[in-house]
Amino acid sequence: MTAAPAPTASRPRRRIPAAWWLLLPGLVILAFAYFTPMLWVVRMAFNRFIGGGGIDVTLSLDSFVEVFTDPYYLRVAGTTLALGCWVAVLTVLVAYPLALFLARTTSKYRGLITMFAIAPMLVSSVARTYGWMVVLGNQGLINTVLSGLGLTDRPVQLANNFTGVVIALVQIFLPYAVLAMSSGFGRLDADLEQAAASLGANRFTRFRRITLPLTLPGVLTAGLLVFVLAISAYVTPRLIGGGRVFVLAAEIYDQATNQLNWPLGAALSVMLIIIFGAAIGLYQILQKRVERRMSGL
Amino acid sequence: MADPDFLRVSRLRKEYPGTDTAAVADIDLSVGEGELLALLGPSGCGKTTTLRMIAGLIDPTSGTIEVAGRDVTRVPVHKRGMGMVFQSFALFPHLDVSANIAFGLEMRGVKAAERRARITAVLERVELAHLADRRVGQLSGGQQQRVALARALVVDPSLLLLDEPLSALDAQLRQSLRTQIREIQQASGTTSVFVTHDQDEALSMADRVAVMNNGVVAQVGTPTAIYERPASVFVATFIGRANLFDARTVGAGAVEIAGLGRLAVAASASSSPQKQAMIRPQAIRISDADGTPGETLSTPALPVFDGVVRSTSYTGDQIAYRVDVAGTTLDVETTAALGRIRAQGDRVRLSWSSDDLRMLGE
Repeated sequence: MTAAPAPTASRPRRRIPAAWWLLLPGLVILAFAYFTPMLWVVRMAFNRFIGGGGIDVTLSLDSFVEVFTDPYYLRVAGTTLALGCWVAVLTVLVAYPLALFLARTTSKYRGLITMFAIAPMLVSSVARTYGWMVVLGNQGLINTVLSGLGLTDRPVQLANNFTGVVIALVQIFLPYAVLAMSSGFGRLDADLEQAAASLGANRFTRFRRITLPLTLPGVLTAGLLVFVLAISAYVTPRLIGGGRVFVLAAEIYDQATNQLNWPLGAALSVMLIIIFGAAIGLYQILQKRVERRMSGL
Repeated sequence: MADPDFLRVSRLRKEYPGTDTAAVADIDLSVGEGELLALLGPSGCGKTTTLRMIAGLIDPTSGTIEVAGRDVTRVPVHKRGMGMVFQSFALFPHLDVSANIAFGLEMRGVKAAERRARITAVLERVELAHLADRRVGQLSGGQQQRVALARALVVDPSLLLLDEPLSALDAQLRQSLRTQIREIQQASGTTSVFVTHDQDEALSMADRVAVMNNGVVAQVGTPTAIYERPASVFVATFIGRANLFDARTVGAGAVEIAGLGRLAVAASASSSPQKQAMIRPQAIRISDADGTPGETLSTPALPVFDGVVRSTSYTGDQIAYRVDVAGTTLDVETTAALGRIRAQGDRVRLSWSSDDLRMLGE
């Protein structure tokens, strides 16, 4: 056996691993384009609005007090939260069977089917929102069909309200959910379900005891992703909401560009960031719990 | 009295859409109660498809599967009560060892106390009692394999099905697990079907071997019968090594082989045209040549040939020679303990008893 040359007995030099150098460009961009503006937004929230676009650079909690006590803003936050939850849950429910099918199919058309599933992403969400307005409106496709069949005498209110926004957002975020899920379905092996079947588990038990637990991490990831996308959605609530659905993103835009009340807009942004943070915290708790069950501890 | 037809597969056939040939073409098989049958064949021969049809994981195109006289062909997999061990082991990654084994018992509504007792018993049988609470991912390949076996056996399956259970393991582990699986199978008396492409595995573990090729069963028999009396060229060459000769039948029990002359031969059981003769390398005896080189001492009933060693390969317990005899080269294998090792160029004398030379079907 040949001994490796002994390291020279000099003082150990602290060396920066190569990986850190590779991270550097990304970190620089993040610092420049993300952390700095973020800090700037937080700082702005502490300033005071003095009307007519004027901003008093100071350290005041006025904007926060307004945002966290005014019933109107609390209601907007509530609507945003509800929208995020509804859209996340419904999108996951619709995407799950699709993602499961894509993960399991052995069809030679699998690539093509996947492409169809995510193809809607190629169309801008603005265009898709207008599409939904055509479908959901009072003179839209659904209502024309319903009244044509004599099923309803008055149009069903699907646009210009919360329901319409949820429907449109579920469809718009579906491809993201499918992609997020199917990338998390790697642990699902057809052999596992067959093994469960050979041990006497019927279809339902197989799903409950094997498929669902093994796909749960992917479901959680997709849920978080869609929730985050939904609470920061701006265009769809604006257009399909028809001026009746108020969400934080639209409110922030309004304060920043119409009222020129930047401190209030910034405080609303901080509120949105808090909701983000809470969602990510919840996600990590759930994910850890699932992981622990997963590893059988 | 053990039922000789405990598992009975009749005219079982599987065609996949879009293919011309059947993956499994009308095969018949019987497995006796407590017996271990190996389905042996090259990849794509239909052995795994056959096993999965028996398990209920693949629907047959036609044919029937009966277990203990009951037709189970249309019974769904979860109601067949068979145990299956997968090539990938298919252990549930989110459950620990005990919970994996408990799964089948829970499905059968076994009470918690009895469940624990049976899990303990089966873990002792596979010598893994100390790993009951271990995560599946923390186990070695061999341990995972034994958990998979325990999980299949704990439910007292009517039939134990093993799909290449050892092929994911390294060679040394395979050897020891072979014996262990065989012992556990015999101790439990579970009727078993075992799929493998490894002839050593099939011969050393099975009571009987069914050699499959192109979706049909080429031959079924005990390991000795398959090895010593192969029915066809395919079986002879797939299992072990063989010296093959073009042979022309020249009367009852005699053939003419170019270079070797007229020789006595044992007939094959095969009904297909017989144009080739075979002798196993181990059936040829090798000794020192004392006659004049080139002189043929052979008689049809007592073949003796002088030849020259072309190459020698020594593997510790065995020596394999290639010997040139009258224009053909014969493979000869002897146990190293017997006699001295002959070198390239040595003159040797080869002989065999006439019933070791066999005619083969196509």
